[in-house]
Amino acid sequence: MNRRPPQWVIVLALVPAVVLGAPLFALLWRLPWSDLGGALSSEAATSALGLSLTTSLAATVLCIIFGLPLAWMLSTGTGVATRVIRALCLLPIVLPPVVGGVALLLSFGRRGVIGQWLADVGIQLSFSTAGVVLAQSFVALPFFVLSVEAALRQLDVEFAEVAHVHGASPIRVFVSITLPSIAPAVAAGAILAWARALGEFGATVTFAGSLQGTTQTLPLAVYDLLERDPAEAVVLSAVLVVVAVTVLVLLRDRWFGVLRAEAPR
Amino acid sequence: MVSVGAGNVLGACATVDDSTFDVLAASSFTDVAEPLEALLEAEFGIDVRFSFGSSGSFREQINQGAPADVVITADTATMTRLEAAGLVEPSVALVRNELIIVTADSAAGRSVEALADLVDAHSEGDGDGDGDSSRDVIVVVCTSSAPCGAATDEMLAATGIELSPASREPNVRATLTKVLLGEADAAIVYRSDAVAHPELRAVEIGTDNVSVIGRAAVVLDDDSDNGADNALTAGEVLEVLTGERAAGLFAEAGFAAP
Repeated sequence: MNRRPPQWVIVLALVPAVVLGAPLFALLWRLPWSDLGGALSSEAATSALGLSLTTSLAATVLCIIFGLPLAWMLSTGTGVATRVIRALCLLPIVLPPVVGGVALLLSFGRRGVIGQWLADVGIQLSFSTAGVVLAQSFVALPFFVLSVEAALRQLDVEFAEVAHVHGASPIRVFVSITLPSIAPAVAAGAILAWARALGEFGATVTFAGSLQGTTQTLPLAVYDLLERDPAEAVVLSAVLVVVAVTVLVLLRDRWFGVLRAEAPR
Repeated sequence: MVSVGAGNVLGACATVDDSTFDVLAASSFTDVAEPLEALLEAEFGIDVRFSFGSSGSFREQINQGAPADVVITADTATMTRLEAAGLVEPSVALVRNELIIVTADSAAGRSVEALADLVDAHSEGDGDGDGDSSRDVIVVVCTSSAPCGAATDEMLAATGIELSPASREPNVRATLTKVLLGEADAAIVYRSDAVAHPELRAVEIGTDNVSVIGRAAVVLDDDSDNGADNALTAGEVLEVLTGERAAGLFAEAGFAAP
């Protein structure tokens, strides 16, 4: 199994490596190093960075809080209902984000199916930071649920059953036995969800709009600045790249190390 | 996503025969494009294709080789930048458009009678979505890099009125859509947008209103992308666009003569 692939396979494999790597390289190459500080300390940049970090982390927390029960339920179910709910959960992955934004408007917008009830009690999600978090959660949740559900399905049920026979409640078994053993998958799912939330553009601009400090996250700021100040747009793009790479590197040993150790089983 | 789309268009263009004539137009020309396209196709017997975007993005688009034989911007400033960059031939004035307020059929929207009624709108969204500002008028305007946004900023500066918009949308169509969907109570858009959507109530801005001059120019081709044929006809297309029949179409769509 460990034999090296033939040379032509390596050549084919290098094509996507270059296609994926070149844009990153070009971005760093075009960075206006001389006024990097100025570009980074601009109000648009700092507010977008702060907003992006807060909203994407909030979305990740929401994904964990609601995604864990969902994944648990999906992993145990076999019926039609389970399959339908799973399909619904995966939809945002294949849906263009802008379509997700339109769907969010029609459901949670001021005149939406659910949104009009919310409006009656004085809650408006569109044009609010909460709306950004909702849009990000919408697109990010599937990545978390998918990752956790897969781990739950592969889990050795023996321990859990023994504990269950010994009288432990399902919640107790899940928290003290199941959760620790799927921790790497939970972490990987959370990172994927966070990365997806951080990069969210289409659903956010469609549903939440774009206003500096309230709804203009980093990707929206990049898009806006590209028409006004391309150099600063490049700087902000690089910030997104650096933030993403830093977190991946920081978490690599901690989480993916565990994943790798578990992989052979 | 945007770049992928552009790539497809470019890929298609390189192989398509040169008879397709590309007009890159500001998004405010979306509604008038269809009759204009019919007029040009009848006149020249060529396939005319309109594509739309924010005028602010045209310099980058043309620079990157977007297919365009004629470009129409929403205001003079963006056209001047194209001319300065040596991307187009000297431009001609096409139409005059001005700002107007459109309101949604909501309680707050119906209460708007003048520009001043938009003030106090959406008291600085505190972001928690608890809607403590739900009684205010939710206003959306264009981002300042788009011509409609630049004009809005200029108009507001002249009137001394300070708005707190709920969102600054990437272009005038996106701004308009927020009111069409009822998400916003009011938006500052172009008069032509109000004419295209009679279902929206229009409120005049008054004495300090700002108008923008839409301009058209022939795109200079330095690559063979669009072929020599189009370079020859581009000037004639421009003549038709500034001619009497086009003027009639523009007037119907709510544009004034430049």
